[in-house]
Order: sequence, then C-alpha cells, then structure tokens
Amino acid sequence: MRRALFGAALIVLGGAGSAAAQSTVAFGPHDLSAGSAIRNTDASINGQTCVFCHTPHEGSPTVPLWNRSTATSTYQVYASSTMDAAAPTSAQIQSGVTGACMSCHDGSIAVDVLANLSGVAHAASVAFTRQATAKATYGASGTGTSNVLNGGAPFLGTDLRNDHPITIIYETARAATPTEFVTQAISGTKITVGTTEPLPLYGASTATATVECASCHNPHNNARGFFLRKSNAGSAMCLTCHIK
Amino acid sequence: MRHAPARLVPPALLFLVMAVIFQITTKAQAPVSSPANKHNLSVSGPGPVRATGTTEICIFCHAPHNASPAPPLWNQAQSGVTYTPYSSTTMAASPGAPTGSAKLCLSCHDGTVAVGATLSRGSIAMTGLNAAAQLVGGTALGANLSDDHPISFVPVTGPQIVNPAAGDPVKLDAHGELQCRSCHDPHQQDLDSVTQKFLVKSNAQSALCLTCHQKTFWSTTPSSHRTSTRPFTALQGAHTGYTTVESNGCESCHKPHTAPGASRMLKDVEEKTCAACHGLSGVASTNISAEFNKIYRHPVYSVTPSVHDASESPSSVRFKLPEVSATSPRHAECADCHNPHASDAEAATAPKGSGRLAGVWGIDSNGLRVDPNGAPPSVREYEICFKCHGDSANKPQQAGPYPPYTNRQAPQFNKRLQFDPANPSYHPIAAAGRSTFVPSLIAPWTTNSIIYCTDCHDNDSGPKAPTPGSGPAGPHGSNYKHLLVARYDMDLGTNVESPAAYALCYKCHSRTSIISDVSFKRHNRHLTNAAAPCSVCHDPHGVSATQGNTTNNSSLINFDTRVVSPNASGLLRFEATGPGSGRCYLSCHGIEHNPLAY
Repeated sequence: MRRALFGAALIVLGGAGSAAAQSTVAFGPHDLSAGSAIRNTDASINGQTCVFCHTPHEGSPTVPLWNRSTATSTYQVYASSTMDAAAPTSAQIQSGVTGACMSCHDGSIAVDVLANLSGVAHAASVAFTRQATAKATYGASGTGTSNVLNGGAPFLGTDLRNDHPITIIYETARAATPTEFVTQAISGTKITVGTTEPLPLYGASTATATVECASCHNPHNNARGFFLRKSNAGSAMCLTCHIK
Repeated sequence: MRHAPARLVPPALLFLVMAVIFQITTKAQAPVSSPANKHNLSVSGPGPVRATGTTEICIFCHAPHNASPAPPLWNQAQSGVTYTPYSSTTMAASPGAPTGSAKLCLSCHDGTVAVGATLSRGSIAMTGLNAAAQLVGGTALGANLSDDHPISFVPVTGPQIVNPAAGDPVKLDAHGELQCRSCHDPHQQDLDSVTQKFLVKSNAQSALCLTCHQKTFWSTTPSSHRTSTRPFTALQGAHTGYTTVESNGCESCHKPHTAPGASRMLKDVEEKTCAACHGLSGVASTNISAEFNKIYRHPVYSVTPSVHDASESPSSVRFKLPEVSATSPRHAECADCHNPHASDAEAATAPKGSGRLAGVWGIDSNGLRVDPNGAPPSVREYEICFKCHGDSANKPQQAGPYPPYTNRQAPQFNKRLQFDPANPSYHPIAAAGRSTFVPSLIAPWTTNSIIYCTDCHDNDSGPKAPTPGSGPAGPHGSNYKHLLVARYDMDLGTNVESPAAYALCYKCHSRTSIISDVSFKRHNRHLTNAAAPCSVCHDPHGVSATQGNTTNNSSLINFDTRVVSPNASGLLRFEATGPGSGRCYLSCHGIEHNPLAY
C-alpha cells in the first residue's frame, strides 16, 4: 500500500515537473520580452517578462499588481434566447479579471502602454520591433499607441457577440437549468467547477462567482496551446461545465 | 450436471441482471459527449460520419471564439441554398425561408455544405460523407423542405393546433416560431430511446406530435389507429422503431421528414399509405386493397394521384365537392369516405354511419354540407355517398365506365334527388318508405325500416352478401356490376327468373311472396313468362318529385324505355289505383297495354 501511494505520488510529481517546463510565461506568446511575435526592443525593459502585465508597485488595484490601464471600451456582448445568466455591462467586464485581458485583446489600448516601467511611471510608449510577420498577423506594430492588436486569433475587438460569454454569474445559469450545468465546488476560498482538473470561477461566493476569460485560460501557461487550462480533447474543457 | 451452473444462479440475481440489461438497452441516455451519440463527430464518435483525427466534440457546431455571431457560437459554415418550404391546403400558417436555429441545423442537414467546415478551425477532415464531405442519405434533407414538417413559422393556433404548454420539452423559439429545435435536441440522442432521433421527449403514441396537434376526433374517440395494439414492425413498414399501431401513433401514416406524400407528410401517395397496413402486410385484420382488384370498384387505385384534396368542400374555392364543372375529373380516395383520425369499429343503426365512417363530412338531403356528430361521430351514411353521387356536375352516366345503363322514362342520376323523402317513391335510405303495402318484406324488415346504401352496394363476398362471406364490409369492390352486393340482372331484355338472377332483391323481398303475386298480381307473369327483369318496371333508387307523382310513380315505377315503349295510342304510363292494384298504358314484348288493369 505504501509502495503504491509512493508510486502515485511520483507520477503526480513527474507530471507536474514536465508541465513546469512549459508552464512559465517566458518564451511563450505572452512573453513580450522575447518569446512573442510581437516583442519589444526597448533596451530599458528588454529581458523583463512580467512587466508587460504586472508591476510590484503602483499597479492597478482592480487586478493584482496590474501594470496597465483597464480597458474602457464599450462591448457588444453575447446574447441568446436560451441563456439564463444576465448579460454583463461593459463596466462589469472592465472591472473584473476579463477587463485586464481585454486591455490588450480588445485592441483599444496599445500593448506597449504600461503604468509603471522600471519603477518610474512610464510616460512614453515602449517601441516594439517592427516584424513583418507580426505586423501581418496581429496588426500594426509601429511605435506608440498604434501598437494595438487588431488581427488574428488573439484579437477579439469589442464585438464579443461571437465569443463565449464572460462576466456572467454561473449560478444563475446552473440554477435555471440544473441538468445542463455541473454544480460548483468550494475549495477554501476558491470556487471551481468540475472534478478532474476543475476550472475556476471568480467571486466571493457561489451565488456571485462569474465565468471570466481566466476560467478557461491560464495566461501564464501555454503548454496546451490557446493558454487553455486543461486539454480540450473530447471537449473536456467545455464539458467541465456544460452537461450535453 | 451440465446444467448445474444455470441452476446455481438465484432467481433474484437473474432478475437483477435482466433489469440492468433492460435499463441499459432502454433507459440509457446518450449525451453528445457519449461515444454512442451520432452527433459526436469526433474521432471517438459512433460514425458513420465522424472526424478522422479531431478529438474535440463541441467544435463541429460551437467555438468559444471567432464563431458566427448567431447564437449559439455557431462554428459550421452556413448554407446559401434557397429552400422550398412546406405547403398544404389545410395549413393556416405559411412557412417561408428557414430562420433562426433551423438554418444552423440545415448547415449540415441540407447536404450542401461540407460537414466539418468550421469557422474557427477551417476544414476538419471527416469520413462517412460524400466526396465533397457533404451529408448524404436519410439525414440529408436537401433544399426541398416541402416534404418535411414545416419549420420557421409561428403556429396559427385553433381547434386543432395549440402551442406547447409552459415547461413542456417542446418549445417554440424566442420569436414564437417552431424550429427543428422544437422537436429535436441535438445534444440528447435518446430522450426517445426507441427512435434515437434526438427527440426532445418520448414520441410513444405520438406524445411529441400531440403536444401541438389536437387532431379532431383523435383523442376523443376510440379511434382504431390510436388504440390498436396490432403489431406494426419495421418489417411491415414502420419507420420509427416502435412495433405496434398504437405506439407508432401518427407515424403509422405520417413521416415528418422526406415524406413521399409531401403535403400532410404521408408515408406514401394517397391510398398507398393505407395499403401499407390494409393490404397484404397483415397489420390490419382485413385486406381492403384486394377488394379493389375486383371488376367493379370505387376508382381508388385506378387514378393515382387523384384530384382528391383534404380541403375539398362545397365552400372551397379550389376544391369544390360536389364538383360544379362537368369537365372536372372524378375521384374516390380512402379519405373521401374514411377519416383515419376517427375511424373505429363502433356499430350504428341506419341511417347513421358506423364508426368506420366516423369523422367524415357529407351532403344532406337538402344538398347542404353536414358535419359528423354523435357517437360514433358520423353523418348519415348516405350523406357521404351524396358527396359524389348527388349533385356532382361530372357524373358520368349515361356515358359511364360500365355501359349499358338504363334509359328511364324519368331519367335521373342525382341520387340525392332520387332518395328525397318528398318523392312519390324511393328506397328507404333517408327516411322510411312511402308505401305501407310491401308484403314481400322479409323480417326484420318492415315498411318502417331504413336501410343503408351499402345494403345493396357492398362487397359481394362480405358480411352483407345474401350468403354472408368472410371478406371485409364496405363498397370497395364487387364482382357484380354497379358494385352491387349480389347478382341483379338488368341489362338483358329477356331474363330467366331464378333465385340467383335477382339475388339482390330477394335479400329483403321474399321471392316466394313475389312470384306468388301477393303484392303485384302479375309479378309471376312478368318475371317468369315474359322474362322481364325487375329493373324494367322498377327504378331501384327512387323517382324525383320534380319528375314523377304518387299516381304514376308509386312503388318505384319508372319504366326502362330500352324495353318498354308507348302503346299504339302513344301512352306510356302507370296508374296506381290502390294497394296491389293499378293499370298500365304501354307496349312491352309486343303486348299492347291500353290499359291493362289488375
């Protein structure tokens, strides 16, 4: 029995270890210092990885140590006659976890506009490399505020009608059609859905916890592509919440 | 010893095993994520249509990003086809082009777009499709939706159509329109585990259909098609997986997709729908189809398709019945006399139609439409006959299909007029007869009796034959001319009298009484000596009040001028002078009647 448990622990650790090799931002698409097609060439910040999103000081209070302005766009959101959760307002989207993601992915604020750079409030934009492939794929990559995402899969824009709804209260949908949604679980302060590789909701209670971009995506780990939190083989990601 | 292991299994355990197997085979649900769900198009799906590599399941229809703006995050390229919608003369709503979620279903199921043509991933490699990766076979509905249940319309509610109740699995969409999704749940294959057609709920006894369809008579009468537990299996032509008439319900006759009889979605064209069960298959207890192989029959099978329409009525603009134009084609379909939603085996007393005729409208003695009522809900039997044999302007006589015909002194082929109770004489179809002196009647018949048209016009080998046969009742077909239930010689100028020659008449009128001259004192002389058929003097239906009178035309006297001619004085008439007495002015068989009295 002891041997078996030890073996199981080894397997878990081994799994964690192999995942760890790919589980950092560094060298992934979110590593704007070097690994991304859109990467900066500013010598003063080159070599830094976290700075494009986080700062140890003077960050935004809404999202932990956020180093960017929060998006202020007006969004068109997903709507369906069979969706029971209330559609979010633009303000609700902006104020939550999704607002942080959208600060780059809605294409409204240049990728290189940061709140704090090297401990000094950064007034001017960081200049990014003008790579022909990046420009073609993700849009303009000139200097200044023109460094916005406006093309390719990462660009969502402000029209979110063709994207899975976000900033929606999961419990509203689950309670309306309990046979269609997996019940939430509470683990410490975290509210999750699913038993195998559960996915996180964001909020203080099951009654208020919402689905956000980060419910499905882990911006720090691109091991599975699309920054997915878990493999979607057999649509396992979708079926974590949806009973279909 | 060899059998010992079987005996060792406790009965209770056997029952448990059986129960588990039963549950697996009949209750197991197959959500779209199940390997058994045909909409699981991933490589792990059951096929035949599935991906060659993709393990994702939802992606064929849904994508979290970059999907079609149309809910629900639709990911399959949509069709650009122009569809032919369903239409029917008995449908109040008018469906147009598919809308809403129907377009999403059709993006695969019209068979014009490659399955796996996704917006977010491009083409996903598939198997089980045609060379262009399009759906083929029964699930490909094509651009012609005229043979499918109508979709994308707001139901016009009324006595026969209701909207689904709140909370019912059957739902209209947000615009109140019926869509594919109203009946089908694309994620749940086995909510009806028998059909496995992704129905939103069990359709046993057509519970799904009846959610909206409140078919007149269907649920309020013991309709045989609703209640029959006779086997109706796939081998016999059932397409649902259900195995009795009762459990197949509506789909015993209707097919909601790709129906050969497009309007009203019949499983076949006209009478062939009925023949599936009422023929050789043995689903119904009698073979009605075979009756139509007889020489004389209603022209049900002779003309297919016919001009019959379910909306035909005196008030119809397009489909007037009785017909008002002499050039309109004649028709007779099963549905002219039978209502498959109401028909049952209830008996009735003349003149009321039996349960087999329940739910059918008719034309009454005044020429007005009359609708069924009572129990069984039927009109008078003759009122159904009057739909075509009364005022119809296209009656074929005397140039009908089976010449020769009589050439009466007072010719009349409108049966409604011939049977009018105001007439000087008539066979008692619509009312008891005029004469109180009919000594030949065989009990239980009396002068107060009312009879059915089918007492004379019926199956010669059926229960109404003088010697009852085992064939089905009803005037479907007979080997005797005029679709008569028994032999009735009438087209020979001279005819040897015998029990067989006038078996039809002798069914009710005692031959002994007739030929012993109890009523007309010269019957025997005419029948035996002159060898004259009954029909030479008698018009079996009746003589219209506008053409005859009680003096000259009582006792159904209306001479057949093929045999009887005016006398030397130019007179041709009968005069009644009392019960069993009268005189005739005519010439017949070279014998001058000027007059001859009795």
